[in-house]
Amino acid sequence: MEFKKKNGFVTFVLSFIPGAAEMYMGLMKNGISIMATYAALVSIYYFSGFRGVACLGSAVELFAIIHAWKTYRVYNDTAGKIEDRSFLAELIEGKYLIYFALMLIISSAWKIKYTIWLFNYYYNLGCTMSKVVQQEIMDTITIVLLFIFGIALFISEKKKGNKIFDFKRKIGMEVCDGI
Amino acid sequence: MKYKKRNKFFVFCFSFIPGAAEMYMGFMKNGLSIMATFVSISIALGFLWFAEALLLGWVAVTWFYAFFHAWNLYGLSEDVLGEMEDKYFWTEFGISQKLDIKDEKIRKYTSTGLIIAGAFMAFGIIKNGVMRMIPDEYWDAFYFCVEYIPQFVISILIIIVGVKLIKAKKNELGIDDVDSVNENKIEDNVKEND
Repeated sequence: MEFKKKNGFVTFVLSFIPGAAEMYMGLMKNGISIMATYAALVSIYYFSGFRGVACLGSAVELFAIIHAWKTYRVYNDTAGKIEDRSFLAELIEGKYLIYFALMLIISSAWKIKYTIWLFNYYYNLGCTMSKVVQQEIMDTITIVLLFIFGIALFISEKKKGNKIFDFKRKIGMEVCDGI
Repeated sequence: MKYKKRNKFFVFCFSFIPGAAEMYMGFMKNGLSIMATFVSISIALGFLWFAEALLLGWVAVTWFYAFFHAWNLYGLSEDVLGEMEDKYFWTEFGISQKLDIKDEKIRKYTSTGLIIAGAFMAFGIIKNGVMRMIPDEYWDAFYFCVEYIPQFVISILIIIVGVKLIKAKKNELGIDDVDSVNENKIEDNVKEND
């Protein structure tokens, strides 16, 4: 496909719709895979009401914003010469996996906070703790497992030397080794 | 013949209708396949109410794909557009050329679709007529069957289409039936031992 520099503001706005920014840059497979994954997770949540799925969906949504920006930078730096492939294939190869792990941690931490609030709410309404636990236990266990998985993935990616934000490159200091 | 670039304003207007912008730019097969996919999923929403959330998601994905596909196509130069082949949109995803539907098959599938749609419309009219004739005390027993026959028939058709697609894929890959392969191997072994 011919290269045309894409508008940063439009990319910023479209990054809030998972996959739309990638499609705007001409990476149709990449964009469709992100959008289809997000749509599938939302559908499953709509059917099941399972908050673990919502947690995963939120992580994909947050990751899509960062993925859009990263892809925008690479797209302009390489004059549009990026391979158009599914984002799941990118994740399996380890590309941007550290960002996905970080978003999974943030999303599951937020859901855990909400779950604690929910427990307090039910308790204040007079529901017995055992009934509350029975209703929320599956969701809570799944969200906690996702949180632990996110942390494990993040630590594994850090050990491989992947950085979220490279200070060394940004501010040109040879001494600083990044986060 | 040199390709003439189309009006940007019209492309903008048509890009909101999946497939219309591609057809406006002269890529009829491409536009028609996108539009047919979008319309098919939208129609399926009406029948498959139990898969509403999933189908709505697919409608949104298809719409976004069509919108950006139109703009990416418009962004190409006249030379590239002039040389571009008009093909079904799914071939852009690397799906096998064997799914490239020939024009004769389109006629066959369209006529089958029209017959099915006509049959359902006729069923609706007959059902309304029959409803008036059946006494109320017997209606409760018949209601479930009569009301859900169309959805049941569509579910069966979808299963048949799915099985046919699997069989077609198996034939394409040259995978025979597992049982017949095992039987052949056993026969070969028996012959060798003899």
